[in-house]
Amino acid sequence: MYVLRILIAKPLRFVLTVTGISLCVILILFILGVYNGVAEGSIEYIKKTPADIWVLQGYNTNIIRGTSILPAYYVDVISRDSLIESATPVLLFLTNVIAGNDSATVLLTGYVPGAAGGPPAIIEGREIREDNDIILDKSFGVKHRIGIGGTIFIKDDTLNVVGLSSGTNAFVTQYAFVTLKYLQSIIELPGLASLFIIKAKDERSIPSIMSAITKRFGRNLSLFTHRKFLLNNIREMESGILPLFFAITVIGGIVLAIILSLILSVNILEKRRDFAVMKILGSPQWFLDKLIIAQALTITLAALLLGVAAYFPLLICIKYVSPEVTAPIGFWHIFVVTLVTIVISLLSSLLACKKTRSIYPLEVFQ
Amino acid sequence: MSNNGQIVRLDDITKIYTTRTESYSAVKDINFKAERGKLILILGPSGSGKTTLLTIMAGFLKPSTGEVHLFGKNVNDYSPRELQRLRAEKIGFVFQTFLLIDSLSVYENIALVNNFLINKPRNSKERIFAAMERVGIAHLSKKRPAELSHGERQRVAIARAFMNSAELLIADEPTASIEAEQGETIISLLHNCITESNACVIVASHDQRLKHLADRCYILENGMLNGNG
Repeated sequence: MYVLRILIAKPLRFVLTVTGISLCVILILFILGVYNGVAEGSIEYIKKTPADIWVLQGYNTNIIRGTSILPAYYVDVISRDSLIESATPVLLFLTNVIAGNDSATVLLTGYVPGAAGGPPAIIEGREIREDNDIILDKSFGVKHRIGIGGTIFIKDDTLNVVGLSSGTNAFVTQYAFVTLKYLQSIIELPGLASLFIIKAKDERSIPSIMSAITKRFGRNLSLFTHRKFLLNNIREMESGILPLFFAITVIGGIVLAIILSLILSVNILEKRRDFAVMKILGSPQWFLDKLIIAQALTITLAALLLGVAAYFPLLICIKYVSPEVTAPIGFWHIFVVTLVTIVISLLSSLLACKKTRSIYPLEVFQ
Repeated sequence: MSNNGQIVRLDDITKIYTTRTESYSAVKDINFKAERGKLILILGPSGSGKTTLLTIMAGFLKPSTGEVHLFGKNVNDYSPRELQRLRAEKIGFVFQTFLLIDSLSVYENIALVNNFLINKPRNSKERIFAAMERVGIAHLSKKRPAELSHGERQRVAIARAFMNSAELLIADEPTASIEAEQGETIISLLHNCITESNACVIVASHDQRLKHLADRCYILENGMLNGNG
């Protein structure tokens, strides 16, 4: 009761503190959500592609931050192995397209229609069939106001949007799917591929297939099992963005701790006489500590509730302004942020608890 | 715990305060004892050392020389935690400025001291109301200190002091901030507490009119204690 009275005694301060901390909570949730969205968008293509073996140019380990160039005819040599069910080339190429009145960059992905390497999920429309068909990422379509039946211009070509895909928003850029033949034609290198996707007839024969390819091509090619390739890309994605996200989250946490420490210290300063009275009356130190911790937790829990409640409407607003920004969060994220925030608030209250130790009971007589 | 009902004993207590330029004795060579069931009055003008003496008795302030025995044990032999428990469980305080917590109601101010006990009594609520009824403030339980008269505030402080069945009550100028008539009522309330719980009450005051209400009276002047003790 006393804790609430202390906090509510200055309502504006309480509201500002809770709002400040809830903004930190929102920031941390947003960073987690963006990471989640980036992680999902960057690797969903690889994750959902039905591949047993990924083949890249020698010394390449991933497609997130690497350029792999392969002669497309290698795939014909590879697919002669009787243990292979299918081997298909995919070409990745970052390029500018004209979408409506905007110029935008997409990661054009050329694949053989009907074979592996296409969009992980088509949520609207159909597969590509012709060389002037294109499938766009859904968020790209929303951002540039292009749907099924719309058109995209690449160089002097007009492509018809026949489908919208999901799991293809890699945050900084989005995937767009065209035929391999068309993509090869616009870069004027018809025999080019970025990678090969191999499906084995039997999973047990994967090592034999990999060994046969290595024997045939040596270090000109890099081969990975699906799992290993996925992990390589996740690691690459994390090494690129995790330090930045971590730094922002730490800053958010520090700001939260500073606000909380400051407000608790101010409250102690104002209620110094009350604390001295309690000491005179025989209050044990743990009771005073409990009052401080209860204040910190009350502020933190109110801020958490406000932060989580405000996060989802905020996400809708962000989606409206920048559809390509996805920051989905789940129960697990909220749980982690709650836990971290509570730990920070407990650490912040330690400093304030220390302050109460220096209050001398006889101060009440001054 | 206490020898022959003796709760406080001061042996040759002197307290010297030192500033940058001078040092002076607030109290000098004081010998004093207080037993259960007695109301002891320490009379003295303002600045005579009354508050210093009371804070030494309660173990808040260490004397420069001499020994303080509280409940039969030298104060120096108590650990800080033991002293805190002693204050929470056995000593009640009443001050001139009441020392109530403004943001809490009368009920909450009295209930507050219950939180300081390791073993809280089961019937806390009943005990709090009984304490309020004892000093005639049960009808004010929901009021805040700022809404009360000085006399009523002092009653709250007395109820709080006796809430945990204190064996020793230390009152520093309990009647100074209130009218003379109410002052006598406050002292008689303290007397009632002695009768009901056989406690020892030590009152420091400058008010000579309280003399006839005390079982024993000391005069504190220039830090020296004289009297019929």
